[in-house]
Amino acid sequence: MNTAILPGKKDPPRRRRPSDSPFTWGFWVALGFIVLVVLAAATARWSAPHDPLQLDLLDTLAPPSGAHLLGTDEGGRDTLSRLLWGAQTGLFGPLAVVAISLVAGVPLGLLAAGRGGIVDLAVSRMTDLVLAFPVLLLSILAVALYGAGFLTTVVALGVAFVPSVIRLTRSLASTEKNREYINAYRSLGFGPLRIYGLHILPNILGVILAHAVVHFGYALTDLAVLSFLGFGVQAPDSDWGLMVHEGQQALLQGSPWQSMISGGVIVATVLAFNVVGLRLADAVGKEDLV
Amino acid sequence: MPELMKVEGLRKTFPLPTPAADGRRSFVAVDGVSFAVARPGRTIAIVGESGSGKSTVARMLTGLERPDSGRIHFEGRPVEPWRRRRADRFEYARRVQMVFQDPYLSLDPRLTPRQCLDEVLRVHGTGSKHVRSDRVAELGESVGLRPELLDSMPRQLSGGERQRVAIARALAVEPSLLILDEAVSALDVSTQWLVLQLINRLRRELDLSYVFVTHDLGVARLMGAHVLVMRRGLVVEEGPSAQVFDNPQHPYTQLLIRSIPGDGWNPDAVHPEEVTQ
Amino acid sequence: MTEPLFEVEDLTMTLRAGHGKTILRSVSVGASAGEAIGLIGESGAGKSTTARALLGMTPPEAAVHGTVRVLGTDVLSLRRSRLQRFRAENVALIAQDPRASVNPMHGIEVFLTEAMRANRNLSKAEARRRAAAALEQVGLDPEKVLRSYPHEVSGGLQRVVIAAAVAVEPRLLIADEPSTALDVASQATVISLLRRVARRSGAGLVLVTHNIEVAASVCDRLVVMRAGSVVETGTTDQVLRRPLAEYTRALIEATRAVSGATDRDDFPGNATESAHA
Repeated sequence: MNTAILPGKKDPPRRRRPSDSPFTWGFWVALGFIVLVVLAAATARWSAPHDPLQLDLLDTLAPPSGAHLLGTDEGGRDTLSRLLWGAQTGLFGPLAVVAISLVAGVPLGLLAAGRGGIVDLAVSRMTDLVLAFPVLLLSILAVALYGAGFLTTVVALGVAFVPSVIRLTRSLASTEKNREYINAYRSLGFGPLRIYGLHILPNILGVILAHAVVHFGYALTDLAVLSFLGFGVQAPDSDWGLMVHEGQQALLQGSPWQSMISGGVIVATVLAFNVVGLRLADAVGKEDLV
Repeated sequence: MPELMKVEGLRKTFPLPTPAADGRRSFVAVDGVSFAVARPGRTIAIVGESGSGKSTVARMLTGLERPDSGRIHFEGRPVEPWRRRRADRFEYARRVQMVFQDPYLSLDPRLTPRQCLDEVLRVHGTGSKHVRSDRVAELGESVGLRPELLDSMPRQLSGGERQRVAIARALAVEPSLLILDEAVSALDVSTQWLVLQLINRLRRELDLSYVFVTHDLGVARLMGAHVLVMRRGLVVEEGPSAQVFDNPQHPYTQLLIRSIPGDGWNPDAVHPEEVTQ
Repeated sequence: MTEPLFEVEDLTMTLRAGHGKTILRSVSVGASAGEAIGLIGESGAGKSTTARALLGMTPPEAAVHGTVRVLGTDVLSLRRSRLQRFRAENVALIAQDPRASVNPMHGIEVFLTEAMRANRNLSKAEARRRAAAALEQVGLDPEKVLRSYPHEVSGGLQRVVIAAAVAVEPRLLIADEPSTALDVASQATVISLLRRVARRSGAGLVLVTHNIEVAASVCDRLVVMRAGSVVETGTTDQVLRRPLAEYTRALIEATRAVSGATDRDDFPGNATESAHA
């Protein structure tokens, strides 16, 4: 480096940006919320005040009260308890989706970047093809073929998310492989497996994982939509998307609690994952600059 | 005894993204370069301005670029380091190593010098963990890296310290020939001098040969027993260092030599126009 | 007693973020009208930061103490609009990379005349006349260059930037490593041009460089800096021949050695047997 502060960076005088650290208060609030949801999922067994499946036909569509903090649904089931239990599928589903997309997408992305030529072309065209279909359409197609259910939708969504992971990995790895330290390893006679697995991947993994956090949010939305449409988690299990669906009737009858609360929780969780993921991507990106 | 390395008629063209003004679609980076490193311990400096093709030559010697034509012989045997054949590459890598220009880019940012050197030793099959650990300490010492720096991250090291790590990494496989591609150009003057002294000491201690590629005539004069002056892909002049620098024949070499700032240097006496075609 | 060109007094800058690193430590430098001063140092020395303070530019993340007066004006306390006016009328900066100074989408004529027309309210014809005169001063053909675009004069771009600087007739020229991004031979051209245009116009010159020999060839006085402090100040002859500071001595030795001027015969280029390579 020539000087402590490079001319181009200093001229013109730059105003102090409000958020030089990517970890703003928004990040911490979002992270706090995610921790809360994880705790809810982990402790539902003990923290839920009622059995989420316990019907009580004498107390249906109750507004929030001392007995039912968030009211009850059409069947008189406790909304808070269903929400807490629903956090389990709410988190596990997207986690599985993201895991599937990473396990399949990262190696394919590395392969495309590493081999180039015909392999790259094949992988890239496949990616384009899958990306041409809306994610939800693909999942519904899978449901039509293999029947509705949590597993089907999770696997289908996982597969549908693979192309964007391939694209990201491929573009990151393509940049990384031309960096001088990789050339140094090539001239040291290192094989491609070692170079891609032990040098390129660890250096781009931060960005990939940060994007995975964002994908987690998308997956959560998509799974909720599929449940809402009746393709995913099946009644009477507790699931946020299903709860929004089940609350529809009540909505028309003037008891908006269940739909609104479960919908709100979905929006808040997705938002939280987005904020955290994007901020992490920022942080990882900055750290890369030596 | 055959030459350590013999290079014959290396040529490399790159396609141009847009055709040039005269309609050419490719650019001749290296246009038939030949030279030889006579025996172990010999040194060659390749000097030229940016675009002269000198770095492309360096990269072909280590297989990072594939020449369009030309041959490389190493210890009398033909080699093609740019081929993918794993075993050949590996064997060649043990003999010919490269040090890159920018020490800020040439180290894996995630690995400490100790991890970096240990991995190279492991890949090249150097003994047990214990033996490797001794060897890492030895390598660090031989390039003048303070022992506590072996466990720092690259970003905590200065440019000079990083370049010492890069040199240690190249030396880890005990090569007989080093390709140094602008190895001191990114460093401060006093660090340059320290690193040049280090390279020279290693050359004497290890009877190492090197090809030192640089744009800096002073560095070339100091480091090469034999000097090649490159311009636009061609070698315009070559010879023993003293001959090339004290009695340059080609006007381009004469111009370059007048351009070296030094005591009593007169920039007005330098006129690049006279040799621009 | 000549009128002072600039006075930097006790200038200290500390970064607010992080560990509060001090990037300048009570730096005091002065020059009288028409003088050429070389600010010399390696990376992190603070030479660029000091030079830019003369333009009233300070790093936004730094706390600044001390005063900087240029032509009697305290530039650090000027408001933005006044500062811009002051700069436009009195000071010109030639930055390291000429490409960063020139808008690639505009023709050279626009680049040269824009500032003059905006700041001096010159007519188009008058601005063009002055631009042509400035281009002639730097040895370029005005008729040809005025009609060109930056990419068409790539080799001579730094000359165009120098022409732009002298066209506004500044009292102070600041050149920040004007030759490091250039080829070996072009360095001499740029340096000799700077010297010539500064002398002819009677403007003061501040040359920021890491190469003490380059500075010595142009400047009347040298200021050697290291890690944010001034190590030594004196006339060029004094500093070069009788350096007081140990650091200056080491810097001169390293600079000379790296430019090939060392009698260390253990280097291959100086070795006597090199003739038999």
